[in-house]
Amino acid sequence: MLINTVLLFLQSALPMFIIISLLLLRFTSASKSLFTYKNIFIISSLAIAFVFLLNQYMERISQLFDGKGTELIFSLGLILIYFCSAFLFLLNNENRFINVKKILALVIFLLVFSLNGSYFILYLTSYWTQSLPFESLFIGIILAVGICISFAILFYFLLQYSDAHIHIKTSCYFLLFFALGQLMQSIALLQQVDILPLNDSLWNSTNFIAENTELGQLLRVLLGYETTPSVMQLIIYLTAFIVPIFISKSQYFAWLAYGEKS
Amino acid sequence: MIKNHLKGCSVFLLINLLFLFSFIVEAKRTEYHLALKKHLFYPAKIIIPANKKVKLVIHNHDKSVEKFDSFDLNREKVIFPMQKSIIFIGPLSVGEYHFFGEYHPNNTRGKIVVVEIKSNQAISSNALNQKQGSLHVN
Repeated sequence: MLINTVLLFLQSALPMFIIISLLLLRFTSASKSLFTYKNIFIISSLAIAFVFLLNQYMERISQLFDGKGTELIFSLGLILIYFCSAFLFLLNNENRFINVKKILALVIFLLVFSLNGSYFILYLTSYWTQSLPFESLFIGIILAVGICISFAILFYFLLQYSDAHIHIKTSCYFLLFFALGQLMQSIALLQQVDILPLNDSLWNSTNFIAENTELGQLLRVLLGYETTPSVMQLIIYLTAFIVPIFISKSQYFAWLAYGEKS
Repeated sequence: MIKNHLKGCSVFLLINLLFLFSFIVEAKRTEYHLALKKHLFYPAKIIIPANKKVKLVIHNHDKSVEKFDSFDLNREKVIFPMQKSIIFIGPLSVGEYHFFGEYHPNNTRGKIVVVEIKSNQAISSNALNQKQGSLHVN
């Protein structure tokens, strides 16, 4: 149960820690006033409240829409994460639209936290009801938190270095890739309940990087990696990646958003 | 002006999403039933025809939550106690596809075996049921 707890916690918590690293990099030193103890406390409390609220109603949600409720609600949440992240990607001017960026970041954080956290709370509930040893659970969570924090810190400093020395928008692109990963998950959920069609997969890269390995799971969260993508998934992935980049490079958008002329 | 533009974009995207969902068409799918009792799947092996989308109905007879998970099928779904959940799988090519209960991965395991059913073989659905010993509703 120890290993299982570590794996399940990693699966739920890794996206949360990664998005914290990515969102922290979106705000410059000029807006560091966002990160006061009071704000952090309020945001954390909100996030925990959302997790427990979603967990409380998840059973009822699962029975909505002829048993498709969970997939529909979660996929809408994941799609919203993508659009908020795409807007945040577009508003990359450091000192403009700070309030809009704060709201987008808050929405993204709360959605990622609640959608992923609710699954882990379900596991905890199941664990308690079966009166399994508490020590395995406790140690498993501590180990998993340690792994997540270590990775998030390394990831943050790596992106910060890359922004400064390699390409100024590295962290922006990684935020977009993260959002693409969430979008891919929403497509999988909608295919699961027959709302979106499922076509034959284009390739199978299981022999290369299997999805059930640690690297596969990490790439799934970071980049939206799929071992057997369908045509629809590939088209949506490419479109969802190219369109924000095209818009951000468009002179019309620069003029619209920042009043900059070519 | 940028706020109005963003608002307009959001409304446009919402309309498109609603438009997308309005085209939901659920064809009749062959159903296969899977029972979860004492953290074991019954049957542990399900045989389905190749290249067809099927409906898998999972009944959780236990008093604890379980999460049906399959990397091979790219499916995961939480199944609440004493309730059933539905997922659609396929069309799949011939082969074996493993699934497991994520909360009890060592014990709660099973697989879906996809077989080619040629038109001249005329295997009836009842014969397929008897072969795998599961409930099957058309």
